[in-house]
Formats: sequence, structure tokens, C-alpha cells
Amino acid sequence: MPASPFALLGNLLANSAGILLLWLLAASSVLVWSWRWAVASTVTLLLVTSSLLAALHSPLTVVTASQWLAALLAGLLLWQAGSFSSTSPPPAGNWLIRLCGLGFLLGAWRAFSPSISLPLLTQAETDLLCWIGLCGLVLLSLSNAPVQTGSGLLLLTTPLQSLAALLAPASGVAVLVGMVQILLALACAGLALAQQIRTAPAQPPKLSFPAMQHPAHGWRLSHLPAEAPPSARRRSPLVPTAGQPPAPPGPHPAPQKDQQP
Amino acid sequence: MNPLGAAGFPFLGLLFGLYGAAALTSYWLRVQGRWVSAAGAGSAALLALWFWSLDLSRPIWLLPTGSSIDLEAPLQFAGYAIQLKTSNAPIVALCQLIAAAALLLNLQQSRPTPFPAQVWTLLGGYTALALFTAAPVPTILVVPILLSMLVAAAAALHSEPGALAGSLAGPLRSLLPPLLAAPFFLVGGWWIEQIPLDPQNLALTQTAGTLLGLGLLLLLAPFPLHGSWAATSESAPPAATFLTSLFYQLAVLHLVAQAVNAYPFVVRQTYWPLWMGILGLLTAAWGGLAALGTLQTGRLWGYAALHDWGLIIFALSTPGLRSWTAVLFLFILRIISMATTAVGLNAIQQQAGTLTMWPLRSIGLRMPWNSAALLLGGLGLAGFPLTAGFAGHWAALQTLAQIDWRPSMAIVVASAGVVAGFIRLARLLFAMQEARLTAREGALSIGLAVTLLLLVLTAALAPQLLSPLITRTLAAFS
Repeated sequence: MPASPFALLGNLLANSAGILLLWLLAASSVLVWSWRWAVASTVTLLLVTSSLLAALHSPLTVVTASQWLAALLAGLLLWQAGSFSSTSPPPAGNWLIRLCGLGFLLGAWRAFSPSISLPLLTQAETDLLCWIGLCGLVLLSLSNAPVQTGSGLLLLTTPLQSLAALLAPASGVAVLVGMVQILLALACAGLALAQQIRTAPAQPPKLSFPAMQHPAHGWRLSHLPAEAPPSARRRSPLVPTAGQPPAPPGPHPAPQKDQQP
Repeated sequence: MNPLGAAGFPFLGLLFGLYGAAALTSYWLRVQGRWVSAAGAGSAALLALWFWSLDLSRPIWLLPTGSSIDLEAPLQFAGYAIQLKTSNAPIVALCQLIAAAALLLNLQQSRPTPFPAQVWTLLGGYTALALFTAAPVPTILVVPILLSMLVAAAAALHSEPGALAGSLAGPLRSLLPPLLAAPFFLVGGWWIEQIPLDPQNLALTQTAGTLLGLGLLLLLAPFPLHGSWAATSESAPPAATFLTSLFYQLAVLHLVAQAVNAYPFVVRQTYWPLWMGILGLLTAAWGGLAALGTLQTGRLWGYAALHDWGLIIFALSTPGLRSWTAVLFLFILRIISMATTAVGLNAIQQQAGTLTMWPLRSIGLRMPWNSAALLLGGLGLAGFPLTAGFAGHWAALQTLAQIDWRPSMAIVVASAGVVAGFIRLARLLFAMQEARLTAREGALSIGLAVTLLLLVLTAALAPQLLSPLITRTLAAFS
């Protein structure tokens, strides 16, 4: 039987250099702090692991094709959400700190050597899938931004995608996993867009606050959180209004007579 | 869909058609949010009542037109099937009850919202999950994957207009437990398939049991995997938090029951009692400790619910008829307590625009009914006397204390943390302040709060009224 085009790509990477490249690509999704790189590397890893599986274990071609379709669609959704979103993910340390974190993780993995073995998979494949999953977890732990979290969650589905194709080949579970990936990407994309419209409360609040210090904790109105009512901000003498310098801290000054209506 | 072996039109086709029509109608009429919510809540409650009274011993209905409807006819597609059975009908009824409560909570929302349509869609998904009976592989291996899809779909609820500004970590982190658990189920399923090849080999059952047990443990999301719930209750609308958390937890409890009943070695040949005992205790303890320190009312609710969930996980450490009764009792009281708290939180959030504690100073003087609902519902999650949770907590603690009194005592101490958190909130809500507040509670809001407060008092004073409900639901779990 002729090899499928997916298997041909897998054959190119089914060697030590190819596996090492995939390890580095997974690590780079954490090290390079950019949503574009995170999404691109995640989709590449999903496609390549699927092809690797096609080369080494020959699952049904339709299963591999569905995995490719799901990965491309999920990546496209995340990319679109990232493009529309104006906010960039907050930095999580510099690349050196993230490299130290990954090195620590790798060292701990080697030191404890949990000897995980998955059925029907070689040890090299198992280690690669575990490493990709771990990189996904690290990405999740470093960022709250929906697009990067989506990338982390998709990386986390890589072992599941491979196991479904191998352990339940003709049951349709692999297709279900593909649907999970698309829904994950859709959820993250939806939340990325929703994040932009959640910066201010939609309804004006009906509370009025005095300009005072909290007696118990010493909070001041100048330290209001982002969701604090605008009326409270307006009334506070400690928060400058547009075009005015900030008022000095202290008791609320009495209003000028000429400003009275 | 291809109904096979049906003696008439499949009833499930009608049910899911009804869900779909309700979702579409709710979306089209979303401008009339309150009317849609009220009609939806009534319909879902009636459906729940009807499911409770459904007699599956007579599965064929003959219509006057001569056609018939088959209640038990399965819906099949590509080897996957859903079917109504005596064992899963109570779960569907509970799902409908939770959906009705969520739609009732949405009555407080005056703006146009697609929430009712989303509730019907999610209800359809969780109903299908509860009715899921056949697949080319053992069904419980596929359930975590389906659960991941439902959790991902539920994330749309968190971008509602009623949501607070802040981190979206909660809804995104809630995707983590099912995704982590699914590989354990797949590999565990492979080991289960190996058991018939060598039935005497105990290592096979131990490995399969350990993997399935770990998967279930991850799905239960105990401490330290609990993070998404507290974060969600901080930032998401209370009705969405109520709906998504209870749907998910009910589905997971049903899955635990199915796994433990189908594969007894999950409990017998693994460290299940130890895992559940320790992690349940840690979850309850962390809920109490964190509730003591939080400065956000939504988070306080989340931590109180976490404490209650810890007790449920702890009760699962020795699965059996007695512990399942305790678990179901706790869960039904949890629904009442969480709905009551959500009513109060919803109203206060709409008036104050925030759930951070200190700006809510004195708001209880202007909104006494909703503040009382918030406090009594929250205290119910800690098992405080004269609240809904009291009977469930004390019954579960007494049952557990018969085995070992020390964990039960630790849970009581942890619940004191939750109680202290709510007492601090009560002092703030009802504190005197010179500044005049303009917040006020509407008649609809008062009506909802009073109704749920009466329900709380009824559950506190006459918990035996819930016995028929628990007995019927127990059929799905044992």
C-alpha cells in the first residue's frame, strides 16, 4: 500500500534529529513570548505529531486527515482572534527566566524519571508527547491571555489526539478529539474578543460613596480597582479629572462658593 | 440520526426538538429577556416535574391519530447511542431543574441577553451526556471527551454582558480538568480490554483501576485543581457560574457512579479511599481558609461552594449506598444554597456594579432581602444551623465520624472559616454609614429572594421533604 502524504512528512521527521527538532519547537512556544509564535508552533506540533503517528503506526488515513483539518481550523480561529484582539499578552518574565523554568522542569523530569510508558507507543514517542503536554501546562501557567491559553490547551490535547488515533482507531474517538480542539479554540477566541468589551461596567452604578478613608483598613478612594463605580472616582478628590492636576491627599476641601449652582 | 428498533416515533427526537426550538425562540426574542426567561424557567420546571413522574414501565404512547411514541427508542449515530432509561431519567430531571433555576435567576437581568438560548443549548448537551448509553468503546471512556466539549461550549456564557471586568482565567482554567483526565480514561480503557486475555493477572486490574481512578480524581477537580471555580465566581455572572458549575459537577458525579459500578476494582484494588479522603479534606480545608481571607464577595461564594464540594468528595471515599445517599442529599441542598446566594449576588452586583467587599458597605440596609439571601445561601454551603445545608452537612459528618472522627472535626473547623467570612460580610453589609445610598431592590428581586429564603427555611426545618427526591435519584447512582 502506498504511503499517505501525511506519512511522507512523518517519515522525514521520524529520526533523532526530527524528534529533537520537535522538542525544541515545543520549548520555543514557551520561550518566544508572542501569541503568533505560540499559535504557529502549536499548530505545527499538532500536524507533525499526527504525521509522525501516520508514518510509524499507520492509522486510517481519514483519521489523520481529520486531525489535520481540526488542527488547521483551530489554529486559524486562534490566529483570527489574536489578530482582532488589540491587547498583547502581558510579559511573564524574560526569556532567560522562562528558559531556567523549562530547564528546571526537564531536570526534575530526568531526576525523578517517572518512567511513563503508553501502550503501543515507543519510549521516544511517549517522552515527546509528555514534553509537549508539559510545555502546554507551562504556557498555561505563565499567561492569562486567552490566545496563549488556547495554545497551551491545544498543546495539552496532543497526547490525547495521538492516543485516540492509536487506542480507539475505528471508534470515531479521534474525530471527537478533533471537535474538542475546534471548540477549545472557538471558546478561547470568543473570550479573547470578549475581553476587549469587558473593561467597563455596562450599567451605571447606583451607589454614591463619600470621599473618606475606610476606618478599618485604611483604603483610600484613589486606590479604587478598575471596576469601581465611576461616580466614586468622580467624587474622590484624590483622583484627577481630565485637565486637572491630582489633588493632594487629605480631607475633602470645601467647595468654592462661586462654583455653587 | 437513525432510530433502530423503535416501536414508534422516538421520544428523544421530540425532546431534543423541543430544546432546539426553545433555544431558537429564546434567541430571536432575546430583547424580551425577562419574558423569555420566565417562560423558559416555567417550561424547564414543568419538564423536570414530568420527567420525575415518567412511568417507563409503559414505554409506548398511543396517540389519538393512531401513531405512537416510543419513550425508550434510542437515537443512534455511527455506533453512538442515547437512550432514556429508568437509571438516567432522574439525572435529566435534575439537569432541567438546574436550568429552570438559572433561567429564574436571569429574571433579574433587564438587558437583552442570549443567556436563555445558551441555557437551553447547554441543557441539550448535558441531557445527551446523561442519556449516553452506547459507543464502539466503553461509554465512560468517551464521557470525559464529551465533557470537554460541553465545558468549552459553556465558556461562551462567561462573555455575558453581566460579567465583571477582570481576568478570564476562570472559564479558561475550567477546561483543564477534563482535558487532563481524558488520556487517563483512554489508556485505562486499553488496559480494561486486556483483562479478558489474562483474567488472573491482578496487575492488569490494578493498572486499569489506578488510571481510571486518577482520571475521575482529575475530573472532580479537588484542591489544587479548584482554581477555576473561585476565579469564575469572581468574574462571571452569578447565574452562569451557578449553571456551569452545577451541570459539570452533576455530570462528574454521575460518571463516578457509573465507573465505580461498572468497574468495582477502581475502588477495591487502588488507593481510592485514601485519595478521596485526603483530597476531599484538603479541598474543604482550603475552601474554609480562603473564604476567611478573601475580599471579594463572588470569591467568598466560590470558596464556600468549594468547601461544600470538598465534603462531597470526602463522602465519596467509601462509595456505597449510604455514602451515595449522603452525596445526593448534599448535592440537592447545594443547588438550593447556591441558587439563593446567586439571587442575592445578582441583585447586589446590578445595583453596586461590583462585588468587591468594601464598596458594599451599608448596602444591606437598602437591600435587606437580597442581602439576607446572599448570607443565608452562603452560610448554607458551610452547614450553618437553620440554613439549607445544615441537615446535609451534619448527616454526612456524623456518617463519616463513625469511621474516624478526626477528619470530620477538621471539616467542622474549616466550615468555621466560611462562617467567619460571611459574618464579616454581614457586618459590612449592615454597617451604618452617613452617606446616603441610592441602591434599592425591585419588587421582582424581592420576590425571588423571599421565595428562595422560604425554600431555604423549608429545607432547614423539614429536610425529610427531600427524601422522595433523593430516593428516586439514588436509582441513577447505585
